[in-house]
Amino acid sequence: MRYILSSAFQNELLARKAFIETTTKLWTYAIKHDHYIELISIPSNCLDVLFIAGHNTFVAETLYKINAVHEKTIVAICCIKGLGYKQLDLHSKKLLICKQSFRMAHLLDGSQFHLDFNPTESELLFYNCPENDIITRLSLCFDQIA
Amino acid sequence: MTELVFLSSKDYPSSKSTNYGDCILINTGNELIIYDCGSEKHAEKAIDYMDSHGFSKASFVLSHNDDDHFLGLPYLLEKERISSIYTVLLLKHTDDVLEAIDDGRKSRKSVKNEILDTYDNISKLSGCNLNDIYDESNAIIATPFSSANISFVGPTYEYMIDAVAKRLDGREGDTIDGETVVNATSIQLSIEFNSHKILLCGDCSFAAISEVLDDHDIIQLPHHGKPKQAEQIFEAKWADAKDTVYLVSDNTGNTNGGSDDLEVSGRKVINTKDNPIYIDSAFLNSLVTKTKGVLCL
Repeated sequence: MRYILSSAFQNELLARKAFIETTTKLWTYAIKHDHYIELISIPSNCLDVLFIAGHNTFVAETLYKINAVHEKTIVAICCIKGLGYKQLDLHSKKLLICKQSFRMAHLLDGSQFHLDFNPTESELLFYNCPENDIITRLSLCFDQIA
Repeated sequence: MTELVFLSSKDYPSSKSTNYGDCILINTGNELIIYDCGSEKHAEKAIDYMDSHGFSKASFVLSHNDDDHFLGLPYLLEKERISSIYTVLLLKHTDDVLEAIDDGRKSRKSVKNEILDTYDNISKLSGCNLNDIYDESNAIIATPFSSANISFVGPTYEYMIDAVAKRLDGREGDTIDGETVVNATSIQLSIEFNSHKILLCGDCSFAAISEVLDDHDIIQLPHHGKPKQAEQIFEAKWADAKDTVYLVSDNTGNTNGGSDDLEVSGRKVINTKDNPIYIDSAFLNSLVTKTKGVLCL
């Protein structure tokens, strides 16, 4: 499992690491890149999912490098507006995106939910959903678009 | 509906170690209903509230027999501030309990005596204006109050009688659905306030409220936020996490119930350990989930 977080949200890194631990029961280590931080699960191959969180432009740029994405399931945490995902050659990959309102992903005020980062509605659902199987839980909480 | 107040014992003496229990004031605008009152300190605060809001008398709903829900009531009665009390009057239902026990060794008289013994606080209220929450046909009375926005919603008569029978039978222990029988069968009150529905449930079990959870978006977590019951409620309401608010009436945090180990991350939880909870129009407006921007550039 990998979780790619735009550097724009690097101040939320610890909170998001804790979120990943709670929701996937996976510990992660971080590698800092120029424009993003990559969290990699320990062990790295135990969940075939890539999360990408950031603004639509950041996620789009990352997805265009799709050949470098080896995970079968990709979860985009961004606005669908301007994402241009239909031009992507996703092969047999599954693309999920967080729930949208008027093609935009709103960030909820995390302090209302005792969280140290501002989650999207889908992330909040993912946190609360009691389904044990993570892939099934993702499909319940995010929308599949490809 | 004007406001609901969950009293807090945060500023009472030894509030971290002395269990002051619950006390919830429901001000409809033209009548006051007190749901539980677990200590004389809470009763004093309730009287202060009545005096400052022009209520000479209040109706009282006793969710169940335990001290931390009851002990302020004698003080309120002594000060002649209670007009009527609503609770479960099990002596009226002795025959049904006896039938549910289905044990030839029990007599009507012995079951009556056990009810008086087990529900000792309610027994002490003999002579007061006591009212049963079940009507002649054993249906829950909808609302005895002048405001139609307040109604009893549980426990069902069947749940109540089966649980009490189990308790008095004794062969299967005195707990049901992870709570003592007395706790599990706490009376549930539903309150409509603007577009919200609030559920008060004392120390009840998850099983006792599971059927009414979907109807409510503001829920008192039973038994002072006891994790065992709360986690089942969170699970049942997971898809409504964004729009559901949980209220905890607690002070010691670590009694048999208590919220010390309650996991609140990812949920809107408000606890009287921090402050009293005033539910009014402004509070309800503040519950609307706020947004902090969008993920577009």
